[in-house]
Amino acid sequence: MSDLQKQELNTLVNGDMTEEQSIEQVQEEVADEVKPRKTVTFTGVDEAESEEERKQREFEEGGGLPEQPSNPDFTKLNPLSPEIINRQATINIGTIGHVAHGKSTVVRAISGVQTVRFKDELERNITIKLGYANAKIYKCEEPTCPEPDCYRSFKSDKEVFPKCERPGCPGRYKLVRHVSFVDCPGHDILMSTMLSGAAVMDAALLLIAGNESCPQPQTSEHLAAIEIMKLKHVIILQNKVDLMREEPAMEHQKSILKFIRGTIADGAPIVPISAQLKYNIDAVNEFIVKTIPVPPRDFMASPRLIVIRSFDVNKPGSEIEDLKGGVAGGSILNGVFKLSDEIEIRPGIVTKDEQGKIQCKPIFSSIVSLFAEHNDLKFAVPGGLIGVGTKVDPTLCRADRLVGQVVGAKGHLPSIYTDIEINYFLLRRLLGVKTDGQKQAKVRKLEPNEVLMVNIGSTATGARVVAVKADMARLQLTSPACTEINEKIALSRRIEKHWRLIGWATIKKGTTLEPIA
Amino acid sequence: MNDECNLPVDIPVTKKQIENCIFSHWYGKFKGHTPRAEIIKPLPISFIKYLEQDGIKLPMDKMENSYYNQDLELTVDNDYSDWEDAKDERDDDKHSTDGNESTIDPLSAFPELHEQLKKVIGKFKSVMPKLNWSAPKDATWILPNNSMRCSEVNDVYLLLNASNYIMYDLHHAFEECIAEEGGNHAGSVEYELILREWFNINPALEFRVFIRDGMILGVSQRDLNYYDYLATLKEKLKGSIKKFVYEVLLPRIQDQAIVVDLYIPRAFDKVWLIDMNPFSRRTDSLMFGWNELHNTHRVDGSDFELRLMTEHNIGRFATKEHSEHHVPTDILEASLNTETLRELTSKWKELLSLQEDEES
Repeated sequence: MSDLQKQELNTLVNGDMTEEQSIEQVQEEVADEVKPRKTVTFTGVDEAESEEERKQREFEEGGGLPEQPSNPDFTKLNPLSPEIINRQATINIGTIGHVAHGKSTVVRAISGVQTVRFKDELERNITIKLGYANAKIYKCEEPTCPEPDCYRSFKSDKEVFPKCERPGCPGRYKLVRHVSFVDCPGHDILMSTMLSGAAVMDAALLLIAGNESCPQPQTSEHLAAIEIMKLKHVIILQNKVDLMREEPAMEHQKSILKFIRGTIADGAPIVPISAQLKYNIDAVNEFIVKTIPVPPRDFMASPRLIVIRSFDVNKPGSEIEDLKGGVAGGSILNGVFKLSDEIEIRPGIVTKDEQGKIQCKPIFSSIVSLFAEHNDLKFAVPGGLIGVGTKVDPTLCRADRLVGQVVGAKGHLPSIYTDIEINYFLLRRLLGVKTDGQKQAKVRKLEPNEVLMVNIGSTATGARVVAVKADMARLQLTSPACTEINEKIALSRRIEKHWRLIGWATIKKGTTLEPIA
Repeated sequence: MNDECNLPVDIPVTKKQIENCIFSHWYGKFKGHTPRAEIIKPLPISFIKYLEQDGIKLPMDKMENSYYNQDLELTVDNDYSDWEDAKDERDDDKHSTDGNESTIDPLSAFPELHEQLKKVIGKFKSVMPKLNWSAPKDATWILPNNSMRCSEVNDVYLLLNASNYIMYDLHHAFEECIAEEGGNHAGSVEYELILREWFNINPALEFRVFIRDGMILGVSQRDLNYYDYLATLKEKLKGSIKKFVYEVLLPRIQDQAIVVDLYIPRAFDKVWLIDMNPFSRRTDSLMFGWNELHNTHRVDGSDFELRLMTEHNIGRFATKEHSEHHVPTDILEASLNTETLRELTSKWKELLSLQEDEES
């Protein structure tokens, strides 16, 4: 520890550190504040300071994680505003590639987050859930710090101005992006992209193993995945270059170039990396910053979130005043949610009356907490996954009971439908060169009274066919759903003990349910 | 390949072990320690066929006031016109539809069972159904409120028909068994339907206990969200689990290797037995690894670990639970197999253009 100067900066108040302030200014202010304690800090820091203390000191020296402003002017914010990216990811990046080619290692190398929890990958079955992870991408503010070394990525809860890690560089990093990685294609994403026709991700990392010939059999299929997910901005990672000599690596890169010519990935940068050795991850960060455009987001739109998880965090037997309410998590589609916002959750609680008639009671509540990964928020925007603490009766949130429900601003949610009239198209045959039952491959017509599975957006519900007429049909939903006219839905039928896709449809009309108070 | 991969050790499981986990094989031994349920067995073969058949058809039981039997109301709001002629079309179709000769209808195929189900539901008000081993947790999307709570017989039919886990019970239950003397796989198992009285379980207080050689190897919380208060209850919960396993559970069963799910509601001393699972890889090891469990050895009376989430579980927000079963198999396959993805894409485009043609 030669640099005594740094030891002076041992605390920093969580002040309003705006982007405009230069690092020098910040350091000056900090130095001023801690001067009185200088002597204390000096004594035996080197020996006595534990790992944890050192981390805490560096965290504070680096500006910590400043609180978000309570009531910002959202017309002036964008997905790069420090007030937002200090604590929350705003760009969603899909990772595409073969698991064996090191997909999770890449995400780990960039984010520093362990994406597979508790178990080794081999122990899990085929639907390995890599999950997701957020990463902050920084650039060193020292002008002499060369590219790409000046780019660096850290976990989502990293302080906002960490010291540059390049040996000898006196600079500090400035946070430039906060991204969220999502394993792709993923059945959920695939389904909702096909139905909405719009990209769920803002960009993609396509992983190709350098030590295998290109094109690898999967690569063209992965390009198809990129196409179907409508991803326009792609960065190709040529992984495992540590296992290759320079010349073959160059050759391999050329073959990739040739291969992507004319495809959706034409013109995409190709970055040779070794995720295992964390080699050239800086360059990946540089490309993420330079080639992925900032996604347009309308923060003034009415906020909307679809619930992916819900649970009850209260200790059983808590007094009413101690109750924390239920927690719901999901991704924000639109707009901004703020603490103490009045919210509505639809369809809410569904009940049936004596005659078997269905009724819905939307849930009204307010937001008491917001979080992204481990960061508390005062407001949340689209990007990554957001947890919303509410005042909703916690027992209603238990066991994922709110999954599929829509959260929005009170009075601004789509209608609840109990039955719909659709214009539908059936596949002539089931997909795939199907297994044993060859006769089943043909798709039969819709039959009155059969119950189908319908996927609406990112949710599924059952639907009983009430009447069919040519390419129109009326369906009664087994569970009422929030949707809109002209929305596209997928139809599946139980065939050979599985749900099989048989067609798709557009909602033309429907009966909406007047919610009960 | 990877720094953290260990080859999975083989954990053999016998057919007997799996049979011991059939609900009716243990339920009777734990009266007062497990929630009330009715076991319906034997089940008519037509009922199993009903679950297996293509398509889902609910019975049009005139005696039931069921939501699922009602005609749609034509209102100004929905602007539906009267489709009387559509019904004629349907009747005409009847003769020409291929291969739909024998749809099983509960009312004609198993009327006694149908009535029995209604009676049990009437007694318990609402129930949670399951077969020998599995509950249809993957199919809750088909019912309102996303739960397994059934308050009419059609709810039960819908859940069971829509569930892939139920199909697992019917077709794959013994798949991983090692060969045994005189053991022949399928055929010999008798299926049963369980209707458990529904209660609003708090998943935070469910625990999975791994037992081998008659000793607790470890306990994991079952619902992997972070519940901060569990840490303060740790010793109390462990005490209750220990007492239950050694004093109530193990003396009543033969299996010394088993995985049990327990529910310990407030005041945290009364333990309820919820389920029994074979000590095998097909049982989710939750916060443990099977390799780890395999390599854990306890000596008599030594302490075991109750593993709890210690921070907000970020990974949980990434996916819906059981979401692999909320989309058609074709989509799931396409997300795993790029060949299928290609086919799916082209078919999808085809349908899209068909529709566009029609609209233009």
